[in-house]
Amino acid sequence: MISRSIFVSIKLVILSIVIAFFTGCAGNNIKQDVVHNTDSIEPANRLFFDVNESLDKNIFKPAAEAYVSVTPKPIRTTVTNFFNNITYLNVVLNSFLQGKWKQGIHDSLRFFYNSTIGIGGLFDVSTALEISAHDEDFGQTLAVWGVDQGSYLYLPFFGPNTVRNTTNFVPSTLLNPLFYASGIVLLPVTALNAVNTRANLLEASNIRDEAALDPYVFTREAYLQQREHLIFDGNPPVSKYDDFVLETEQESSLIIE
Amino acid sequence: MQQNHYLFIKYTNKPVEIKMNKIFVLTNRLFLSYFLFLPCHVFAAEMNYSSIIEPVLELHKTLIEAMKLGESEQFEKRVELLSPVIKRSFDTSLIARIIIGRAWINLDEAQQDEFINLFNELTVTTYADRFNNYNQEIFSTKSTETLKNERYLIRTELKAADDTVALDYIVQQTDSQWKIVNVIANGISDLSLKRAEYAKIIKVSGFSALVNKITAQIADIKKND
Repeated sequence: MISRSIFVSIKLVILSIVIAFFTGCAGNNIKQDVVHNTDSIEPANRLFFDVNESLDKNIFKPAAEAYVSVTPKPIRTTVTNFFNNITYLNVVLNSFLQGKWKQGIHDSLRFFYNSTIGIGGLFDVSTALEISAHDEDFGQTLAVWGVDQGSYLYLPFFGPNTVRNTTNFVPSTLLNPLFYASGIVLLPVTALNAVNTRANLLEASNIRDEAALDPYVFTREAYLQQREHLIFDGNPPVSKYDDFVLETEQESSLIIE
Repeated sequence: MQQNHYLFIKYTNKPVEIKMNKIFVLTNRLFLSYFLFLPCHVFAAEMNYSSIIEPVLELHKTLIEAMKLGESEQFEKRVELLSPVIKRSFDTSLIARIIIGRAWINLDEAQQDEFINLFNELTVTTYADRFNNYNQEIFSTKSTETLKNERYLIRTELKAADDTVALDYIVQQTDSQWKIVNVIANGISDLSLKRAEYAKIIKVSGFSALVNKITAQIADIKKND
């Protein structure tokens, strides 16, 4: 059963890479308007966004708020540490795949110390030892390898994504020890992870609700920029920050002419 | 007879006499002159650098003061404190033009002025709302990078108790004053976010609808404070 799943998963990864490559070939000039080039299925994305927002408003957000009200912060931190740790092997793998050897060793040590001294990841001893966390995934690896991001996707339950980044589902799932657990353990643990994650995002979602005039566009733009930030390890090319100002100057000069 | 020149005199019991030709002397005099005047070059560069980062430093200093004012009952006081500084630090009229994009030229002067004032009010209200509680936060300036057309990217950091946020600012000169034209928080450009949102609203519902939405947004922020 597991080996068949792996076989199907590998085929999905290859298909995703091919899709990402060919949609990239359609052209993705960094200076062009993000709305036109990367949200080619906006109507479908908006539909899924509205469905997710409704589910979030009626189920997930109230559950997260109730969870926060009954669970002390230290407990929630411990839960967060646990889930961050069991998914950290994906970070280790992708650090190496991107050729970041020193970082890969650093991440391996982080996982080892948190899993052992940190008692199965419950305690983040690595940060106290100044072995800080990184954030890598297979979507970033493909970006480093030169694969274009493809279209923006808003997936039911999973939220904002891109064609390229959906490939991360496979390694992140296969490298998660919980994937091999039985349904009796897997389902409640997955539910706890979902509620805990939503609880950690309560403040961010409140800021979004306050700041956004069009929450769909806000979410898309914030997500795509955040991805770029991660791909360049917090240091994207400075020239891109200038694009809109330059474009406005060019438009103004055209008007004067 | 070749003239002798005393270029460097080493400390010995007697002066060291160095024979050289005139070209060599001239080169060395130019070289020395450069270094004699170097402190002035450095001083001028430092003056320029300090005026480039001034709007950012002033904004950060005022945000700390606003945070120290405290919670919701001080909202109006935070607005009063931040309003003149934000007006000075941000090039709101350029930001408004960038955010509205191509639709800007279709607006008359009254509409443009209305939008600039409204956007300024949104900026002040948002900052007063968000920076409402002091918990030993520290702003620190990390580096400055040069962009095109004499713009600069100033990288700073806001350290709170359990989190650090990278805050980058793009500044440029307008009427001889350095002003902020974009804020990028953890890689997310405020200009880019708003430009995408507002473009969609203008395309679907028109400029008046955008103005109404922003007005309602400001009212909501004030109501929640």
